[in-house]
Parts: sequence; C-alpha cells; structure tokens
Amino acid sequence: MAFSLIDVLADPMSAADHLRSSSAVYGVTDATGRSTDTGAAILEVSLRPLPAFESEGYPDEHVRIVIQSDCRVLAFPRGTSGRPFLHRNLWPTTELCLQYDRDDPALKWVPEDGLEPLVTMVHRHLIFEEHWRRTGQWPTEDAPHGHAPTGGAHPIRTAQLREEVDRWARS
Amino acid sequence: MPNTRTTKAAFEAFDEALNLDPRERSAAEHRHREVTDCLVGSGVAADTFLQGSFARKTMPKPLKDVDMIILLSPTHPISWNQRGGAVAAFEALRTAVQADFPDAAFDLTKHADHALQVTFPDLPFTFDLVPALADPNGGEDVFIADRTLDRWERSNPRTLRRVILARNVSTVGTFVHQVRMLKAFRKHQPALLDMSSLVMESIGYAAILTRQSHAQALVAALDWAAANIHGKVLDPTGVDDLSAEWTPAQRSIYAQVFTEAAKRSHEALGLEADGEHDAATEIWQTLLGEDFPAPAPQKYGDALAALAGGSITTAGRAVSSRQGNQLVRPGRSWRSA
Repeated sequence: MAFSLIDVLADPMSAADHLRSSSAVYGVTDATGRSTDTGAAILEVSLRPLPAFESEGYPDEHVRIVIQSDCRVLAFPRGTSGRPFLHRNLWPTTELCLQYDRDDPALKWVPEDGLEPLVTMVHRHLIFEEHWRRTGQWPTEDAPHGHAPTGGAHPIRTAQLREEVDRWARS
Repeated sequence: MPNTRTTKAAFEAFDEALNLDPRERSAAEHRHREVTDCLVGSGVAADTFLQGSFARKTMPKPLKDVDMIILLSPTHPISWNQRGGAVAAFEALRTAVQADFPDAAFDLTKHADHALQVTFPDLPFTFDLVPALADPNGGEDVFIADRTLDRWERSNPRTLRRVILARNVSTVGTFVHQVRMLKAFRKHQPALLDMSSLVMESIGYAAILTRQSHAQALVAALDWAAANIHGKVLDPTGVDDLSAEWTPAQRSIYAQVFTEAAKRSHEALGLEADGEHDAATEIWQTLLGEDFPAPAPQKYGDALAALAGGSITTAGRAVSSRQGNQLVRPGRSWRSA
C-alpha cells in the first residue's frame, strides 16, 4: 500500500520520513517535507543511482517534488547548473516532463498510485536524462515535443510499448 | 565453483556452505566417545548422550561447542541428590576429565550454571558437559545440575531431539537444513543477535510442516515470525516460552526485522517465479549473508532496458518482472512545446 497523496498533503514531514527510513523506494539518501501557505506539499528528495548506474559514475540526484492541493505534481531537478535536460520545460517553469498527458492511463502515473510510484517515476526520468547526456539517446520510446498536428495523441511507435499498454492496463 | 545460476542452485550452494566441516564433526564425535569412556570408566557417569544443535544437526558452521548430557552414576559414592550434590557433580566431572586429559582447561571463556565448559587444546571448539540425573520413573526427561543454586532442574533434551528428528523425517530430510538457514539469517541481523538461536529453530518448527523448497520454507518461517513474534514463542516441545523474558522494546525490534524480512522474502519468491534469478538471489543474500552466493552485478545495459517497464527490487536491481518492490510504469516522457 503506497503512501497516498492525501496523506502527503496532510503531513509532508511524515511522508519524507517514510521515504528516508523505509525500504519503499531504493536509493533515497535524504528527504525533507514541508507545507506551503497554499496547501501544497513540498518534498526535497536526494536519490542515489541504482547500482548498475552508480558503477558507471552516475551522480546522486536532488529533486524538489511539489504536490499541489489538487494533487497535480511538479518535479524540479536541483543543483543542475550546466546540465542539459531533454525532457524538461523551458524557463521559467523548468519542471521535468515526466509523462505524456494524452497517453493511455496504462502508461501514466495517476495520483491514486501514490507517493512511491511518483518518486520512482522521477528517479527513472533522471537516470534517463543522464543517459541522454552521455549518449544523445533517450533509452525508451518518448513522445515528440509539442502537440500532435492532428489534434489527437502522438501515436505509439513501437510494438514493445504497445505490448506494455496491455501489460499495464488499468482495470 | 557451484552452479548458482538459478535460485534453487544458489540455495543448494548456500546449504553446502553452512555444513559443518566434516573433519570437525568427526573429531567432535570421536572426542565425545573418548569423554564418555573417561567418565564411565572412572565411575562418575552411567552413560552420556549428545544434546544441543550439534546433536540435532541444526547447527550451521562454524562448530563452536558440543553439548553432552552426563548421566551420573547412581552407584557413585557421592549422593548427587543431596545438598551440595549438584556442585559436587561438577567437581567430579572436572577431576575425571583432568585425569585423562591433563591439558584440558575448564570454564575458560564462560562459567555457565548448567554446564562445565571443557577446552581441549587440540580442538577448535569446546565441550559443555551437563551433569544430569536420570528420571527415576524411567521417563525421557532428565534433571540437570545448577551449580550456582545447587539444585536439579527438569529438562527434556531427548524430547526436543525426538521431535526435531520426527519433523526432519516428515519433511524428507529438509527441515534441519532450513533451520540452519534460519540461524544464518539471525546471525546476519544485528538486531537479533541477543535472541537465542533456539528461537529460530522454534520458528521453523512452527512454520515448516511439510517438504517444500528452501525459499518457500524460509518465506513461511519469516511470515510466521512476523505474525507471531508479539506472542509466546514455544520451544518445539511446547514446554518453554522462549520469549518469556523479552521486553516490549525487544519484541518491537524483532517484529520490525521479521516484517521487513518477510516482505523481502516474498519479493524474492515472486522474482524467482518470474525467472529473475539474479534479482531473487541478490535479495536472499541481503537477508542471509555472505555465505549465500552473490549474483553477478547487473550490467548497465540490462538495467537500462529493464527500466523501460517492470520494477526495481529492494536491492536496487531493475527487472522487467513486476514482482520487484517498486513498480516502474512504462511512461513516455514528453514536453508540451
């Protein structure tokens, strides 16, 4: 059972303590939490890379995760001076572009999934950004920037991801 | 180098690694016979038998001590069952052993109430000699000496050995191996080191009732412990509550350790079922220690591919299976403009 976003909003310090002291999310080396006057929760999370990436010299990542009172989320990489990002909105918003809004729900984190899957998604994204910096390649299928010219959704290009839609279908 | 490519093979290698050194086992059995000859020959003992985890074959390596029950001779000039008899029994054992083994040392590293510790210079382990009186009614219980309180206390080592043997038979010889693994688990958990290793044997006895794989047996035992550690933990004979002296704080810590371990063991079992053997064995190693074979570190490319969709294990390995601790949903990154 994941830590719900409602609980994060109610008590971000406890949510941070959960991330820091449990084995719920691999690689959390530090986490703090606080509330804002507008009812949002802000988590500052430090993440160690998975061992396979740590051995390749991947850096620790620091990210600010903002959970707004309506459960919309934003993730901002911290300490990124001079590090380019492929999937991050341009200044002034600069949040990570974690997922494609128009994708099938099977491919998206939704607030009901809770905190741990959210942090996992952010961690995965930061690992992919580092891979892209090193190779120029995004390691999985991503969606083209901008909206589809037809007004619909960007189609899925690979058979592998189409299979994943079935495997991860939400009932 | 043993084949450890599957979880089952890794457990087999682990089992092998926990076995006592056959030369030490043989030396222990040989010295047991020599000490028996010495004590019976001197008239102090009527008979002896081995007790403890060495006797029950539930002791993982290394062999540290061998427990012997010394059934005192009822025809000895000392009346054991009178005041001063328990203390005299210890002295009689010491005198007899010293006569045949002049280099032996006594109570060198511990002075137990119930056992005379004997250190032989040619052996890397000790013997604990427990003076005892046979049950006058012919039962399998014995009365063991307490040299501090100078009294005799009922004990049931034969019953314990019998029920463990029976469970080992009913599990087709797997039970004692799985108890050794549970003891290895305890040894690898600093928070459990103040817990008697007999507790792990008792947990195994309560949870492992039939023949099953080592992994399934350990999951069953850890589940049982997580669910029951707040209550009584009876020894396998059902007589003693081994948890009677635990404080609430100790129980709380033990519960945390077993709950987390049970969770990880289920994760490992699920990964094994999905064919993710490296991930499964990696988790088992975090639970069971260095004697459990380690898989090769995950390669960069494999981890990257698995992050396309699957899960991340508690050991930090990305897998395409969804049985790891953290689900990794295969989303598409995107930017609005």
